[in-house]
Amino acid sequence: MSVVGKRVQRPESITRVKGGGLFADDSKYHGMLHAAVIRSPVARGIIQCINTESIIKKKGIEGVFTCKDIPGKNVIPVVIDDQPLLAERYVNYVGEPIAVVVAKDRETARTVAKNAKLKIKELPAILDILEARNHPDIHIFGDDNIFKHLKIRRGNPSSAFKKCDIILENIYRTPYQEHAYIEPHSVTAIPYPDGTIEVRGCMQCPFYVREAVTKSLNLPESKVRVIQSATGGAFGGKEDVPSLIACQAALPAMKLGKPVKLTYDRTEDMIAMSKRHPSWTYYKSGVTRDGILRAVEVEYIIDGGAYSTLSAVVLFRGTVHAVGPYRCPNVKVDSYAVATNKVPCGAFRGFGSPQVLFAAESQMDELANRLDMDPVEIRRRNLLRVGDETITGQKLKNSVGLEKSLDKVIQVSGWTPGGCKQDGVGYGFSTIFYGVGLGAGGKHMARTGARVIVHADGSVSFSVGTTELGQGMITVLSQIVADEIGVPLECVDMIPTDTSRVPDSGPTVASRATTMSGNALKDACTKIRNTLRSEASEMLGCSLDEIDFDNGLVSNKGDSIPLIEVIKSCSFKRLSLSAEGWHTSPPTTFDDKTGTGDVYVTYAWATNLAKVKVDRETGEINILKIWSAHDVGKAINPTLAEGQIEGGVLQGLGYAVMEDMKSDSRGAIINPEFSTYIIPTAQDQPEIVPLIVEEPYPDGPFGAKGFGEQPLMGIAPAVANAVFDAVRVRIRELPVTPEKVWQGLRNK
Amino acid sequence: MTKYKTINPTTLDEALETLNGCNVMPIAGGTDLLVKFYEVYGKSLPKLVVLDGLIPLHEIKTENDRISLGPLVTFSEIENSPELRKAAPQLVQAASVAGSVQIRNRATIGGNIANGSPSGDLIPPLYVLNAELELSSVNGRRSIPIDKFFKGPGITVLEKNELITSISFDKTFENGFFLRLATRKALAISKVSVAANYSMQNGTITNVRIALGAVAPTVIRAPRTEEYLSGKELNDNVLSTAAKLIKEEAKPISDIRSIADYRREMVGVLLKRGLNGIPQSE
Repeated sequence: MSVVGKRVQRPESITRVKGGGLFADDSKYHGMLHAAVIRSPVARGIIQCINTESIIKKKGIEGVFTCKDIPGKNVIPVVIDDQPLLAERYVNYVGEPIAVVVAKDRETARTVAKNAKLKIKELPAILDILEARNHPDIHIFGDDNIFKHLKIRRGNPSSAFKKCDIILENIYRTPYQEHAYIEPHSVTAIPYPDGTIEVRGCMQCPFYVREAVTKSLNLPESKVRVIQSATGGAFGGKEDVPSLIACQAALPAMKLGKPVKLTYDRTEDMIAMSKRHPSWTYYKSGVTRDGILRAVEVEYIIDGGAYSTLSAVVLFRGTVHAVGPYRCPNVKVDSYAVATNKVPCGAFRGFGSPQVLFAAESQMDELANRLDMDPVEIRRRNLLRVGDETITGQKLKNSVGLEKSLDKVIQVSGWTPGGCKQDGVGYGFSTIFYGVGLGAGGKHMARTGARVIVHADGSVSFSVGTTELGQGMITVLSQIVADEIGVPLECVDMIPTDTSRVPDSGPTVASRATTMSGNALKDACTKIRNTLRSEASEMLGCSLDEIDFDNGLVSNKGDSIPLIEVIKSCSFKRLSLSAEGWHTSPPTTFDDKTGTGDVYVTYAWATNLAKVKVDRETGEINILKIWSAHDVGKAINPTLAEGQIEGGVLQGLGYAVMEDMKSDSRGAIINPEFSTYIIPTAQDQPEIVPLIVEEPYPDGPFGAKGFGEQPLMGIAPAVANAVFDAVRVRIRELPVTPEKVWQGLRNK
Repeated sequence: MTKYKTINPTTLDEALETLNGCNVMPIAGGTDLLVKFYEVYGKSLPKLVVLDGLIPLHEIKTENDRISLGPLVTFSEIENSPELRKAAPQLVQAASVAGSVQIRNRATIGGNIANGSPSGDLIPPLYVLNAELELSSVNGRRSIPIDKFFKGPGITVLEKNELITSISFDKTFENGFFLRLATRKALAISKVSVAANYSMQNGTITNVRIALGAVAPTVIRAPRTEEYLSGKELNDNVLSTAAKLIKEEAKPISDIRSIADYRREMVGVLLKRGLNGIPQSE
């Protein structure tokens, strides 16, 4: 019986609800020591003195390590190698790591790190992106503080704007968003007598961690083994950052010859770890009276913080998504990732697109309003269909379920244009898209490996290089393996992700695990199936192509034998039922000069509809209901796909209406705790209606496309549009708080 | 917690004797104290004196028309007390919106008062109920009206060796409400709150007492608004004037939770809503 497409339960679910699962901080090792990090108290300065001798004399301290102790390169390899593992001469943000203290117990390490005396000469810092860009005197990065500038040039916007009937120009701003994973960062490094370093911890990208540890410790890749422990949420926050933490543990572990654990506490994690980039967007769009989008001009600036980390690629995704899922013949996009003296920002579900989509989709709504057209009609007149070109000139060949997602939302919600509604109630749409996988921004990593072993008893183990982060990857991949081999799902187990099991498979980001590892597993399973098929043909006395695998049976017309007999026979004959699989993505391109190319292998599509009620006196926004339809190609497991939608919508609602991380005039985060950084609780979850659309992607496993990030991406504009529909107040700066709505109502 | 030795008295005398010593700290529900424990007291952690074993301090007692609550009565116990629902509706409403179920099961009225936060949700209701606090130490007992207890944010007249041993007020069979605004629906600290207690006689409002939370360094009363309302019929004009007056009595600041202008305005909105019988919005 086939399990792909079935609502099978995620095996970890019950364990997790009961509080089970071995997380990074749960493991102990013989002789294990604890590390803590000494951090910069200032946003910019010159380190004059770190008195390591006085620290080392303290009771319980086993060692203290600075950049001078690093045997290899003092760098965290991501895109541009500008971020040191431990600060050398300069510090560039509050919370920047300067040294690692190691003690017998965690409290001692943390207390000593916290109270360590540093001599740092404070220098003037620069905190605002608009000031930082091309700043004449203060140079955090290069001569202009610009990590990356990207552009798209299509058609002739300036002449097209002249022919438009309505042109809207606005500025949009978005704040930080904190990942708020349940489990703060934690890693343990274990040295072995042969010189191997084993790293265990919560992470998205074990191969990134391996690269960072090998480079900083000057070890060959064969001597570093990275194993992912059960990971309590990631959302992008465990993409590049675990590399830094792993090195902070691996350095003392190697030097002291003992296991070293490093676990951040929540406040430290919130002060010093990556977040969603704050942004500033200038958006100009023009339509003719028929509602056709003629020209768009965007200037999009993201706040990268002190080091470049992933900013260049975050910017890349934002740039490609800048116009939303619409045809537009005349486009000019200039986007910048800018350096400031603040905590480096990084990956977060949506990866640079939610910020610019908030602007794009708010604009679309305002254009409709100015045209006196309903918000669905304007979208219908512009949305991308098969055969259309995106703003990068990519012709869409197949798997474009955008209009279907719009139709599905309208059908299920019963929304009608100009439908009557209570006072203060409003509806807001967003239609969005998501380039699946790494795309041209990360194409050198667009490959992945897998290994499948069918054991003699009929059980199956598989290994992949991508990771389970709570999204349900293990379940989905097990479903694929079960169907591809022809065994029941209960017989399939995944070996925890481990860099020694498969070749470098790239990161678990960009909603790529299902498609990439799914395809690599299919490749491996096909090889095993060929062996089984040839053995079965001998046993059944028929030709190879006459054999069917189904429901644990191998059959030829009426004649069948249990698959387990075929497996046993292979084992008896010493035939290998183990195979490695490999998958590389179809080619992607992006021309830096013009911003053209076939940027992503395919796109996922979505429509969101938010229903809200706004209190006219208090400005409070009550989210009544969210309909969210996503074209996922094929839902390998519809329950898990719906789970992604529900979780993403709630995280998107937090971004839309309440999450507001701020830094003070000295660049320090002022609300690094959950009592002051407010995220939604279960009480804040409105009714969410997850809807699945399936327009198969021919190169995906069973037609599947990745879409895990997409549910978050379009919620903020849908809510802002609904608030406008409710009380005619337009908020162009997230979050849409009662205070802002109240001010808007008062100023009307 | 388990690593640190605690002191677990079983009688009040024993507890007060212990609290008379050095570097000790009483703990009730711990929902405020433990969050900041290491950060605030990290350098020399005080020994915790666990009050939970003082059984009489958990009681809600009624004598004639007077109700007295032991300091260890939890928010959940207040929320679910049929007696208090009649006798102190504003206190029950405040107890039911604070924190989360888990926090309400632990957090106590004594802790909420002693913590001294201007946004402590039980405090405005206790102001309008004219609550009396009994403070005890080895030196004896003293009684103090709740509005003389607070000196500033987190600062109270409670001596280091003193415990709040009772919170008492007259039963009100009058009208009362507590309304607040917060950033989310659970586990949220109030941005602004308004509590009131009043009677209605022949269509006019009398005996009116109003208290405001989170809009000044301590919870405050709104005497000018109270005076204005007294003896008035509650019509739209009167409510609008009252809302205007009370805005002037609030002294809010802008902080991480909200902005001053908004808080000031909302004090008026919540007062009008409360007097109009509009319940806490969900």
